[in-house]
Amino acid sequence: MPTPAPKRRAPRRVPRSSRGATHPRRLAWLAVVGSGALLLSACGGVANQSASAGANSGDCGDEIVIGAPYPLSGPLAEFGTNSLQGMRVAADEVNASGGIASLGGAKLKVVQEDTSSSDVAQAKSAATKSIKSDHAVALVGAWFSNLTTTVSTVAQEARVPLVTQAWADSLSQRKYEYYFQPPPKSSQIGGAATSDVLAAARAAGHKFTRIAAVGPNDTANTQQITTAIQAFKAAGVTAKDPEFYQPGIADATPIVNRIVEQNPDLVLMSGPPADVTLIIKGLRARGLHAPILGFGGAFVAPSLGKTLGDDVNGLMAVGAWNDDLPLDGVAQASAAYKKQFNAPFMPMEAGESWVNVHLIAEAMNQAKTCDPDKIASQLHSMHVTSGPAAAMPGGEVSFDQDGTNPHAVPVLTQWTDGVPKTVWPQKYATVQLTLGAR
Amino acid sequence: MSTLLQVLVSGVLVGGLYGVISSGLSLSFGITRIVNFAHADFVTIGMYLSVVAVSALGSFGLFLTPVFGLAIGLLGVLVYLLLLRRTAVGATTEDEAHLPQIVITAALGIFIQSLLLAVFTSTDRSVNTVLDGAWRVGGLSLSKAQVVAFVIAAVAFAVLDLVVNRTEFGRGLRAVVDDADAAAMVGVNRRRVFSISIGIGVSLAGLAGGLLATYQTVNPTTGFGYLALAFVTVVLGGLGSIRGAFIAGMVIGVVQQATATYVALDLQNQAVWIGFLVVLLVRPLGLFGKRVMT
Repeated sequence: MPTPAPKRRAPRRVPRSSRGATHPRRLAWLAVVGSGALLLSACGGVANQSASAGANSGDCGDEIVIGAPYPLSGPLAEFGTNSLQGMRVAADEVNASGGIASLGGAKLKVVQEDTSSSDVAQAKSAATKSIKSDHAVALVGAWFSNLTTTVSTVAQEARVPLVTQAWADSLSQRKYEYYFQPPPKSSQIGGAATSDVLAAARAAGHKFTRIAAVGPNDTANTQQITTAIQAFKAAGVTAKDPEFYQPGIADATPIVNRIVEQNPDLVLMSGPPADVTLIIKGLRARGLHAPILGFGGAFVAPSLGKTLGDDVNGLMAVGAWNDDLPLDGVAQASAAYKKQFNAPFMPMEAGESWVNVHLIAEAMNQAKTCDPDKIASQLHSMHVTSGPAAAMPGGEVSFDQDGTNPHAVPVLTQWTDGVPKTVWPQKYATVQLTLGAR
Repeated sequence: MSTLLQVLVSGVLVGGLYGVISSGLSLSFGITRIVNFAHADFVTIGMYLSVVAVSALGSFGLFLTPVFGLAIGLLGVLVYLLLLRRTAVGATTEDEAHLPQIVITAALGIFIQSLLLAVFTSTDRSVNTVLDGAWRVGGLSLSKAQVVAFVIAAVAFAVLDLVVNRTEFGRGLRAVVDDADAAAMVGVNRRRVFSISIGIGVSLAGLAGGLLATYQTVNPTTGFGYLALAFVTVVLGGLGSIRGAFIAGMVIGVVQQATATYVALDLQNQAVWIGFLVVLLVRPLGLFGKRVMT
């Protein structure tokens, strides 16, 4: 059963000042400020009622706002910005094709709010501002699981749907009815790491015997790496315990020492782009050319291609989307993205948010509404099998009670000539996996 | 055995850069008594200048690293003259000057980070040069970039040590450290000594940044990560002792490498802090600090 949205609390009674009698002049000021506050809240109330009434009656005006609370500052800004750009490409496509047809051709407007990279209080403010001030009918965000936890709570309380590209299992375990996650869960991604890589390697005539693993010591990365190592061990591959480090390293030599000592023929890795760059450069400098399998957005980020140079080629990553997928609209969106933002490819997070905007547009069009509650209901009931809204690996999108998409499958990519190419599942592969020395 | 040798060599190579950053901080603090919280942000500026130069000129851009060090040193002199001079001169006691100095240098650090963020964004950047890769010496692997950076850092430190201990100007510096008023009475220009020492200290930070960029990624807050390490190194080496700071830098490098290799990767910085506390308990003036008789 979905968790019901919490009821609004009655306003708390303000305690009387304990500092004794109030000065008449101060009292007058308090009265002025209090009246102002009441007036402002009354105006807000009127505005909200008006928007809500409009949404229910089907009159959505010329423009419908989709909120984009993303990390646009700090170390995760690259991912937030890419996601936002993906949303803009989708909105441009919808608007260019005449807007939301069943709502009189209403156009989509993407309004960004900065969650920061780590401040959950700012993430809460950003999501609240999207809903209350920007009047977003739905949210797409917030890439990083920690931020998405906060944003999804705000969305649930406000009864506004959040369509996300975050993966963490803990997000969907809460069974929020306004939470929607088209890409696979973390546990699916971790499991796919083993099965996909082993299957792809087998197809390429290669067999792994010893693997080493390294990642940051936070909970999500520890779980992902540990799960993958256990799965490889179960498949008969020899592996020592993973190496975990404090993220934000200044020197990768000790990490490199530990991995080189194991002499692996496959290295599993996760972590932020800066750490990953140092470790990979260090491994290659030490002459270890074993294939590397990465987890997470950092391994398919355009910046990784720039910082690693030629060393990026051959790097494998398990993810949720890639811009060479043979699915509806992907080629056009990728071309538009590359042209508009002068990018070498459309990154995973941009593709995911592009799909998410199309899903919201599809839900509004099918339900003929811009009412957040009804959009959420439509998202729960619809099953998309074609068009850009279905362009997630798996080719279909519908949502279970917990908001996850049962059709989603992870994809294995490999950097080839400076861009990530899909190598598995075979039906989506655009190049064959290469595991020899580079 | 080869792992132990690798740990020692890597520790010294990495620690050499810590040593240069810290000896610059130690020099400027020892003479001016200004606690410069923006010191590590000049490391970041050096890193970005190196990234820009290599992006434009390829590996030839690395030859500009010493020039960038000098330019950043001039920036340090300007910072002293425009922002810090009055706090040091106007204060009646050393303690009275410290508060505005801390606030000003901390604000300057934030300003530098914000400026770099606005210009370069928060995306990590790195360079690919002829120094990528490693030399194999016996069973050891020596990162080309780390070896070259260490050699340049060691030469820069040797020049600094020579200037401070073997020249007339260095005698003036030491005289100000011992007794600023007496030095002024015998004709040492204290304001000039202060501004030059800040300039040299910041210049070393900029040079170290330029060298670090050859093997480390950079974002606007990268240098800030070195701030605590630099202060630990300065105190460990003995406040005001530039040789102590350089040696302490290498000791810290070896401790980090050994802990990460033999104990646990995520405990390398904790080991530095524990070692720091132990040294302070045994030798409160640091490894090379001397008690001054008054």
